[in-house]
Amino acid sequence: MTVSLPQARAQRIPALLAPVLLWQLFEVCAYGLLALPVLTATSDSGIGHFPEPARLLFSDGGLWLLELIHQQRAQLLAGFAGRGWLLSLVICAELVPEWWLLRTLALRRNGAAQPARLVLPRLGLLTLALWLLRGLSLLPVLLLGLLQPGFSVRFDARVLDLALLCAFGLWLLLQLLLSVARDLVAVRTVFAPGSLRKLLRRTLETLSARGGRLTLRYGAYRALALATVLGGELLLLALPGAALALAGAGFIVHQLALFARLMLRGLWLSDLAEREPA
Amino acid sequence: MSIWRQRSRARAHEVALALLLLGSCAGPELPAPGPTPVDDLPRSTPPVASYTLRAELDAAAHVIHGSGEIHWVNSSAVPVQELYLHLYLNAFEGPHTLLYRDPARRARGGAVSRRWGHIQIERIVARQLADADLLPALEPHSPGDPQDGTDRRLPLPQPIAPGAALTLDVRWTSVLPELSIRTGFVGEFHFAGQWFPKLARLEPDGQWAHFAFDPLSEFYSDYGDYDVTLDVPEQMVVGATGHLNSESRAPGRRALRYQADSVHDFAWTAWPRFRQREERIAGIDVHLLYPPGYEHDADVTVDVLRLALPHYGARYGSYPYADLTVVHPPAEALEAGGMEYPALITTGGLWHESYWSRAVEYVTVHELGHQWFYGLLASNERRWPFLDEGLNSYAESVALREFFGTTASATPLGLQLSGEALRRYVMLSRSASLPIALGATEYRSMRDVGSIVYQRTALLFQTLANVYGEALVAEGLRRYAVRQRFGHPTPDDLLAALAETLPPAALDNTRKALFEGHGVNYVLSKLETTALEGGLVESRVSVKRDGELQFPVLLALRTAAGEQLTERWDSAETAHVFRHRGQSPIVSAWVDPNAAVLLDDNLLDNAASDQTRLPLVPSERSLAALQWLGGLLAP
Repeated sequence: MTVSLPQARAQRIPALLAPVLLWQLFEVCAYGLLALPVLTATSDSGIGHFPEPARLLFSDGGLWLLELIHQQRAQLLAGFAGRGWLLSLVICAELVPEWWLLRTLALRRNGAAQPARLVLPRLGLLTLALWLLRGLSLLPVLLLGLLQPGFSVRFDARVLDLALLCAFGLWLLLQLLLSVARDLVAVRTVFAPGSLRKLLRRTLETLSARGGRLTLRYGAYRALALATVLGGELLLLALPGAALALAGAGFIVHQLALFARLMLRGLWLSDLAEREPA
Repeated sequence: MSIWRQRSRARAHEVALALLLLGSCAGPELPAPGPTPVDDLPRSTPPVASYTLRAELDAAAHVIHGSGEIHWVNSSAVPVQELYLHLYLNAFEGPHTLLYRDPARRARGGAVSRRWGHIQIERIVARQLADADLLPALEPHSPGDPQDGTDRRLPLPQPIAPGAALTLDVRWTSVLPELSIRTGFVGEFHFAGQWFPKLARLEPDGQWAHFAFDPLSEFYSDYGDYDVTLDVPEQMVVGATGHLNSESRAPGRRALRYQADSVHDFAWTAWPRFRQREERIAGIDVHLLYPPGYEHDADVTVDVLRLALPHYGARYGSYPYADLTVVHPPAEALEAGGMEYPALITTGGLWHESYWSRAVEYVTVHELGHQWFYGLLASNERRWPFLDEGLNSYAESVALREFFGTTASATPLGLQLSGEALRRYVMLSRSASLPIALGATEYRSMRDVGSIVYQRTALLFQTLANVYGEALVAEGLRRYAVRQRFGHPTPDDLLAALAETLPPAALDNTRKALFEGHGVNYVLSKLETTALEGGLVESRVSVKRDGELQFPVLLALRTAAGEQLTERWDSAETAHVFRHRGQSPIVSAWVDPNAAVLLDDNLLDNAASDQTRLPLVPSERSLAALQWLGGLLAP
């Protein structure tokens, strides 16, 4: 029996559910810890003594929200300043749920996966290398920014902005390509043993053969993920009274959007995994 | 207009005001004042310092070669033995000048220029003094400051008697700096502000109000008639103060003659790529200059001018000039934006901003307001900057609220932020202990000026309007604006006008806030209930007032049975306990529930309740934002 691509993806979703939910649980807990200063500042602000404080905070005009931010500014800054390390730790620790998801895919496909002690350091290095490359790719953009005044004297501001937008689009495409390369190496790191050099060579071969198609596909996944986040925000904006003032409504919408984002990431990685030799 | 007509109209307004004050006994809000007969106000004033100038722009070298005459009348009561010339373009001479040398105080787009500028006087001759050459006597630098050449004393060989005139023949060269602090050039764009030798203002007591160009201060000058011919390359599109009287052409050049009577400064701009739009709004010829691609900004600007010109005219007296030039600088010259000159304002922003924000409208309304609070009420901006920037900020708030409602200042992430909320946030960011009515140079930084002069003044007047009635404040400001039209008002003139419309307590608060830096903080300090006999309870609500300002406030109370009660507290004493006996205890109390007192140092200590309901929404939104950030940073 032949199975179409959408059907194949649908069949993979149940297998992805557990690692994706685990990933989401990790995100809620880790980022919840990071958001703790906001909870403390809100609690200490005195806003809880006012009738319907949530509605007051998000009432039109923003007087009370800005008041809270101002009065608790020192506390908020102190709270977040001490949490830079925690944010770094959380971002690094994100590798664990990702690895768990890749491992699930590998076990499902091959019945075996590389051990964590080999995989996790490589994934860490890989992510570091990715950010290094991303940083380097920013340099031409910064240079372009520095040159802007000279350019804009001669051109219509809209033409210049359009050119900048095109440059930004190209830069984004490059970022997508970098992400695809990173994910290809990540999947292969979990799926099959081999030296890093071999992995990189195979990845370059894959990219030269079908890098364009993969980048477009990855772009589609990222666009869908962005659409879920924006869709959630639009939903909240459409229901300002309920969403902004009632605790819980916003949380549910945001976590649903996050779930969709993580599930899309899982589907993308499983797409890559499906192309790996069994 | 004759003195008699002024007096008879003032009497009519006093009667109207008495009726308004009687009406105020019935409730806190009064109807807005009816139409005010402000159309017959004077449109000119006798000139004191007039300038007939010719300026030739060398667009390639960014240099202006100027010549002409300054006609000055000693309007003081004493003979004058010296003049003071403000050569403010010398502020752009280098990093050593008063304008640039202290980076902490630099503001208003004060990036260090890559090409400095200056003004060089080449000839200055006094006609009535036997054509005496005054140039050798011109002091080389500002008094007591060898590093600054912006404020220069010019001794006269013989005194000028009160009422006598002096004509100075002048010739000079102005080298424009690369655009910085709203002056200079970028590419072919030129903006000429403070570009000619200008006399300081002589006060009636014979003292010169002269000062070097300070980064925290603006200007102060006498009214006069300006007749300025601008000789520019023929491809240049020009905008300037006043009315374009005539235009002549020579090979490769155009000479444009502008005339502006009863103004106290003259600015102009030239750029070959300006688009032009001509509109007639409220009887005024509006000349709009904007870069290519800014057509939508131009539409938005014209739309808001259609609202703002009649609005300001009705409230503070009609705009007296036939022309208004509005300049939207190009993107690379944003530093030239957001500035006011007589009959010429600059707006700002990028081409797309008008599609998603109201920045263009806000800047336009603010700068247009300066045609009154600076243009027609030419107060000393160095000594009392609140009289122009502060009052104008309040006037701008009132206008924007009328045009766009109360909640539409900015909408980040779907939140509607009001102008008052944003002003309050900025105000609270700096120390409240500094008085509003300080001199510009007495503040430490532009942030202090922004927080106190702009925002605290606006919020003081908004508080007065909220507490005592907007109509009374509006009438007080209208009287001030009408009486001081074409004048050089002081805070006393403002207070005298407000004293006629506001109750004494309001005026006392105004004085304390303006001159003594006093503030206020209302606190709901305690809410307690004790059981009495017969199933009754007594609730005691303790409120206190910290600070010297005393505004009457409301106290909103709610019982456990859901009954809503309202008390009034005049806050004459620093603390008060409200007692309530009944079957149901007070469970929640809130002093100033409408946040009428926008000067309150902390609104979050204004309530108390028997239980705390912690809102989780901010934490939830922060969690979502952090998760979104994590998603961006993740591979």
